[in-house]
Amino acid sequence: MVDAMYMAVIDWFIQLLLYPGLVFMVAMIILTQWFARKVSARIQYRRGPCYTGPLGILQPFADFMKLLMKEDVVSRYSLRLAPVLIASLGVGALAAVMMMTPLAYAPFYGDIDVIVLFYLLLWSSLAILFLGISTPNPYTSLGVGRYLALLASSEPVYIASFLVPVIIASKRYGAGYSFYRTSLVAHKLWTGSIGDALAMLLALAAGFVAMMAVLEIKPFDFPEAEGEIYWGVFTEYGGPRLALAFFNLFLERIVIPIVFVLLFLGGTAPYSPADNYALAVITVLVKYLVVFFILTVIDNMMPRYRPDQAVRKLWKYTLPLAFLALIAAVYA
Amino acid sequence: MVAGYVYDPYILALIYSAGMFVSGLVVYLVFYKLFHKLYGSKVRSPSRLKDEIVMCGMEYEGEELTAPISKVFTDIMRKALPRLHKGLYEKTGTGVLNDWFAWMLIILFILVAFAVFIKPG
Repeated sequence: MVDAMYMAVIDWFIQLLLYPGLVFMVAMIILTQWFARKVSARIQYRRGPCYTGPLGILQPFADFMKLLMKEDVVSRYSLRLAPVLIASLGVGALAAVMMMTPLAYAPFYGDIDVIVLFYLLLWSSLAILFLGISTPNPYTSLGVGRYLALLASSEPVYIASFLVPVIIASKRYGAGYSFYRTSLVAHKLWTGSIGDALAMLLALAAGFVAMMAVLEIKPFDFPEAEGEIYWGVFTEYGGPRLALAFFNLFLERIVIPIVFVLLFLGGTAPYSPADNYALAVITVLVKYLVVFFILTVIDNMMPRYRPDQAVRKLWKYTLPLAFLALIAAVYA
Repeated sequence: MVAGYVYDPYILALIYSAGMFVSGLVVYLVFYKLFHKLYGSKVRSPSRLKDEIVMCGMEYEGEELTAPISKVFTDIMRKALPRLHKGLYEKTGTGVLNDWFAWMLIILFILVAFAVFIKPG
């Protein structure tokens, strides 16, 4: 009994801080940001990062270190310690989520763990919101007001559509509203019945758009809008504080698409973590990179919505779609 | 690979909250404190507190330079969903965000009361 508990604590620490937690996530940030810059550069007829490390792969790390080297300057009218602590907690919440995925070698899960998942995912959005609120600049306030409107419009869609696979998995395969168990049977969710397939299709469409909105991918990047409100939420930030804000933003762009892959794109299929753990992990990461590539291409190709346009479209089209999917999942 | 650890939702919430705090603390201590101490700029301004607010390429002083966040939010919602906004305005008798939050809080308490006091079956 004591041995089992001792093992659980060791596994918890390793998975939280090393793999697939913090250290692995830092490596993933470096890789994905390099990848995003290379893709953006190709679209804009540039070469992208080339010099720092092989093929310029260490450029995001060099930029991060550059921000950390700068002096930590704070506005006299802003909060000083609280934004740094809240941003750190946002990063911590996202790193902790990874212990619930099949990427973890000994995942921590249980019935209704999907509530814990949403609670943790919401932390990073709230952290970004708090970073904006705690500084006095008018552009920051505009950015926070816009970000608040974006969250109020996209979070209900995002949660409703991400619940659909969990509901279907619980009804058909006894997943007990567990995110982890759902991700193990995700490849069967599309083929249970026509109703299930329809619910999954509607949820996939609504969920993808909501994911773009939550991640501020164009055309939903109006809370930042660098040419319009000077980066909105982050106007007053620089140096190590901006590094922590970026840490939150970039980690969000890893964790939320991985959750999307695990729920909608078959998870670890065609491999099962119980049979071949390494191939199952590689499959998830490859699927994630494909989703990330699509998001990066969209981000480079689309113009920006006005705030009211984006909010109207999210409420008018994606919210009914997500609720329809939810109803179909419950009653199909 | 081990099968994993299965817990009930309450314990799981505690485990993940603890994970969030531990991981957040490591981020704060390593990436903010330690890295900045090791690699941070040795050139210091007389004060790290800045009096001016940068705006339109110039620097302004004063605390009054703020835009009300709730006004920005309600303005976007009014423009995006005029009929819903009008309905909410008429039903709640107010267009102020804090009053809407008060209504939402009342509804939330009613839902919590239902969840706690009404048992199925």
